[in-house]
Amino acid sequence: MRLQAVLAASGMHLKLMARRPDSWLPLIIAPILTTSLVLIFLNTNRLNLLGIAVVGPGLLAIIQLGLSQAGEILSTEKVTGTLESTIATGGGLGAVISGRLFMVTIVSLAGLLESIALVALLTGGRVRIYHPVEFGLALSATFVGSFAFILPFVSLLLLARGVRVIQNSITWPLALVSGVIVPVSMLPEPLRIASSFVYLTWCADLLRACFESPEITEFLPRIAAILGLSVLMLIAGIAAFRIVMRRIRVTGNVALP
Amino acid sequence: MRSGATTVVLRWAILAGVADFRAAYTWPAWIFGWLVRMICQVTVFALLGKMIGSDDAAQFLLLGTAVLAGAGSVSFAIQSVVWEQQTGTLPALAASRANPYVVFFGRSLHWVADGTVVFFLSFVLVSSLFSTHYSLAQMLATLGLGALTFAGFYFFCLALAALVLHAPAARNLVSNLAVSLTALFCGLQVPLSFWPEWLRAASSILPFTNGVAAIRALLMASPETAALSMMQGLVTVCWALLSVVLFSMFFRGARKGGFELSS
Repeated sequence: MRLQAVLAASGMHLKLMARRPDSWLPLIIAPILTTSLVLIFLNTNRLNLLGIAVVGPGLLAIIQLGLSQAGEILSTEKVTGTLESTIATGGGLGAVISGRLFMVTIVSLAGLLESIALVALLTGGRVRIYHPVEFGLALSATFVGSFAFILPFVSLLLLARGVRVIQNSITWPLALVSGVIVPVSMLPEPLRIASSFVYLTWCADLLRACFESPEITEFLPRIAAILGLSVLMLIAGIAAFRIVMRRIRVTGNVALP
Repeated sequence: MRSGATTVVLRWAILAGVADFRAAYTWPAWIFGWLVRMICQVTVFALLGKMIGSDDAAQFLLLGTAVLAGAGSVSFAIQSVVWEQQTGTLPALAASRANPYVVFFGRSLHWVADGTVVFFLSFVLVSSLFSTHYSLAQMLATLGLGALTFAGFYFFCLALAALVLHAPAARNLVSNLAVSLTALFCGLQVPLSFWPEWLRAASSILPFTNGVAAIRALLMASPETAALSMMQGLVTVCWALLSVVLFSMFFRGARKGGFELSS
């Protein structure tokens, strides 16, 4: 029953996205950023940095698409009047959120894949995945981390107006701190400390390493760091969801204050 | 319509736009939700330039990305024109004796001010983070040339908005592509010298190419600054005329019943 609800919600979210061209904007813009980065590296003859052009725009697309869709998940249920009835059904709101978020995260990974394809095309195949098994594992961990990162926003966006400012503005500060384009080694010390608490830092590091020939060091501890941070974000997401549910049960309504 | 009446319409249109802007942004939301985001974007690309290994590359990317940051504000003109359609005010504008273009020009003008301020602050702040300092005269001239460049981009956006009124659902896509593609082809992050001759020639009629080159020339104290600034002025006038023509065509078509005035 739960699994059916998750799958149905996933399918429904994909259909909703298909009907709204704006949903795909991050995936449309990502290739342009990829192209800019590739051309910058070609122009300065720094082909050793092509991994940045593959990983950076792809990870940014994941965050942008995830955050833009996070606001849609509960608010559309609320606007269409299905929020209360969904809570009343056996499937449960948690299953619906999980299913929809699952689809958002799956779709957002396409940004990374289109970046790989575009960089290969623009450079005549000069980019390759040297460590395919590690790449698969790092991509899976990125999926888990991204799902967990977006989960708290689903509920918080409904609870506090200030969260929308964060939703709209967090992408580039996050890109700076997590080193998705410029490795964190370029950052000043205080930012470097902060970056180790951001799951994207570890994802960017690992994914970039998969496009370089040297052996990847400390692979498993770095995967463990992504998964550990994901667990913390999942706990935050579940806590925010419980606040929403409590508010609905007490007031019969949930709205921006 | 008399020029005095046009001034009144323009004034109220500008005030309506400013009121909308103030409703959307408080000072903390603008600073932490918008300006900081743009400063971070500029910093990322300036660091990328440093990583590439040259101060020139860092400076090139810093200025280009600061212009890109300002463009992110100005391109909202495309959406705000379509908001007018969504709120159902286009039929009233079409029936009015006032020129609708004056309303649209004034209604979104605050985005030019916003874009210019975002560009200037992110450029100056990130430059100082990278220990690059400019004289007051250079900074004021950069601000002036930035305003001229964003004026050109504003008219470019208005021309696109007149087309988007035919397909309002495409407003966000067009707005985002307008910023990203002009950034790619106008020498903001990728040097113009990288492109083939024909593409370089084509890009010289785009709204950023000459303006950004003029700012770069100014900061290097190059004598080309004046000629490039004049070219930017000319391109701005051309985009302004095109936007007037496209809005006139839209409203002429709408009055004849050919185009939808409400979405």
